[in-house]
Amino acid sequence: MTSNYGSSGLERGSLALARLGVCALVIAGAAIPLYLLAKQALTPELESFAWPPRWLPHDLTLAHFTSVFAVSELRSAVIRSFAVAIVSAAVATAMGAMLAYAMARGRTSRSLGFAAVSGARLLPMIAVAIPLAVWLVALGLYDSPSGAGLALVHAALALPTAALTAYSAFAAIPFELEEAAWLDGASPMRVFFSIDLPQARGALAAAFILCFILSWDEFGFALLIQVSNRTLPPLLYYYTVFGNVGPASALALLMMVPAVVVVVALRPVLSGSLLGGGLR
Amino acid sequence: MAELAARNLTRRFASGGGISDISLTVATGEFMVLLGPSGCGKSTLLRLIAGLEQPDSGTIEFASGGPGDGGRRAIAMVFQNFALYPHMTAFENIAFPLRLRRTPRDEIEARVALAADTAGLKIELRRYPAELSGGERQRVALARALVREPAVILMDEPLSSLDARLRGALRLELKEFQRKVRRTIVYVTHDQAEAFGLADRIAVMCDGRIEQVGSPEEIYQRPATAFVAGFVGSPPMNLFRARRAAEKESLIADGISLPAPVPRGAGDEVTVGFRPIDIAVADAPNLIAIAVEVEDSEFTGSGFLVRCRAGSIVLHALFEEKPARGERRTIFVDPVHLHFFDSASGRRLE
Repeated sequence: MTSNYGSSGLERGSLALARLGVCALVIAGAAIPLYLLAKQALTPELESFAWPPRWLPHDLTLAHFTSVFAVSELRSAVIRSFAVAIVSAAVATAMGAMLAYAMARGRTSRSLGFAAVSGARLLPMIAVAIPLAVWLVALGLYDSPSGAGLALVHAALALPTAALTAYSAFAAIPFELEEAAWLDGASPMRVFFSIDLPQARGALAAAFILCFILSWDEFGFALLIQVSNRTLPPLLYYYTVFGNVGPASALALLMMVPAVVVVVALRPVLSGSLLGGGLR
Repeated sequence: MAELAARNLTRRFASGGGISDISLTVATGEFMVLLGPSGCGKSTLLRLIAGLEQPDSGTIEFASGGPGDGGRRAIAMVFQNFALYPHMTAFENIAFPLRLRRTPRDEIEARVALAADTAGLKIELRRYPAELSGGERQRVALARALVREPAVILMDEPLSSLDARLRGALRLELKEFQRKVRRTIVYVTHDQAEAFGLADRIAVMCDGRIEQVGSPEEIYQRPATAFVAGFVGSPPMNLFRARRAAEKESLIADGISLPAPVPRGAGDEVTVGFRPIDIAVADAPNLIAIAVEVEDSEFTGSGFLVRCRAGSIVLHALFEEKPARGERRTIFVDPVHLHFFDSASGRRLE
């Protein structure tokens, strides 16, 4: 009896250990590069190239940050990147929500929606890069100082992600709730805004975050479309190309800040603790 | 006065099911129960009345005027699973129909309080549905249906998702509720105990048709069709086919001879029925005797429900004492307790 109990307890213990190990590995996989990035950003470049490599920083310096802030292009690039990310995420989430709602409520629109969304995902993006650029030139949005053209492209890129994220949320809302609201006297518009939207809030916030990060990080189209009015990823790219490892690391570190801020700001909405319980 | 009148309603579904050519009137203040097995079309009929479905043909007229409210009628509905809005508190749920009508805030508060009270809600209305018990959710749903004072309240199996004890308690409360609010209620259920307990009149449905409409007593005592006879009553009525005897005015079934008067309008074959509760175990003048062999019995609390066999016919009878398996007995039925149905149409014969 006791030995049985003991061995199962041991098993539990080793299982917990294994779980911890896996968690530690995953966290390390994400944390170590981050740490190295921070170290490179905060130490003289010589330390980054020291051999054998040194794990702990020796001299700390803010010189790389100073040099990044000294770049005249930085301010406009930050504003442009942020504007593009916010606008594209908002557009993608709004349109994705509409598409997702239609997909969740209609059989035909569901199959059409899935076909469109997965089709868009299967398409190699580089194949449409040049046509897109041509189209933006025609619209007068190519390399626009506001980044409007890039925002449009990013919104289109992010739309499938937004739609799929929102779809599962809308599909989980029982249709009876809509029928009940309709019988209570709500117009279809009101049903959507009063019944469906509040319940999908968490998923829409998640979709917004994903779209925001997608745009904030996007490099290929940004490089192609914003050739002179750059956003942050191409700026970072040019730093790296020209071997400025220190300032590049500092800029990369700085780029993480808005993403973290957006995630933290939307966290209360993400945890949908109020959901459930409407149906028995 | 008729509160609502459905005429020749038909709604078929591609997947099968639906209702065919149903006509039904419900009087003002009446508690009408639609009773039937699952798939009989009772929920479809309710949804047609609600306006959630459109009929293929036929009309529904309301005494409270035509469709107002953007196509909607002055009706409220309580759903089987309550359909409470999970992101709103109990108060907001009940107030939702009033908010949509731009009712002033103080009036909303007064009417929500009144509706909650009538529905027997004794909880903090600031709580969310997820924080409420099944019975409390049920009451919130009732209060929400009641708050805008509809002419008709529709209920789709509102008790079926509750556990048995709560169901019994809420059934009594529903009846009290109906007495207080004096609304017309159309109530769907497959539970005949619920139907008998609540209904002023019952519409028994089968295969998309109404078999019979009547008071619970009428339905039980004079079932209009063989289906109603077999569906209503617990334990169910014994039903078997019998042929008209060649020479005499009597009926013969396999193993049973019924010296009963053959009903008028009967064809060569009729369906005969009698309830287990109407079977006597002791002889008396004018009773019909049936020799049976006991096959099995189960204890029901007040006695034993006995399955026995007369020839190839299986009959159920209620005994006070437990019979032995394989025992040969004679059971007796008073001819006045016999029901006759046309075997082809299922219609009652007198």
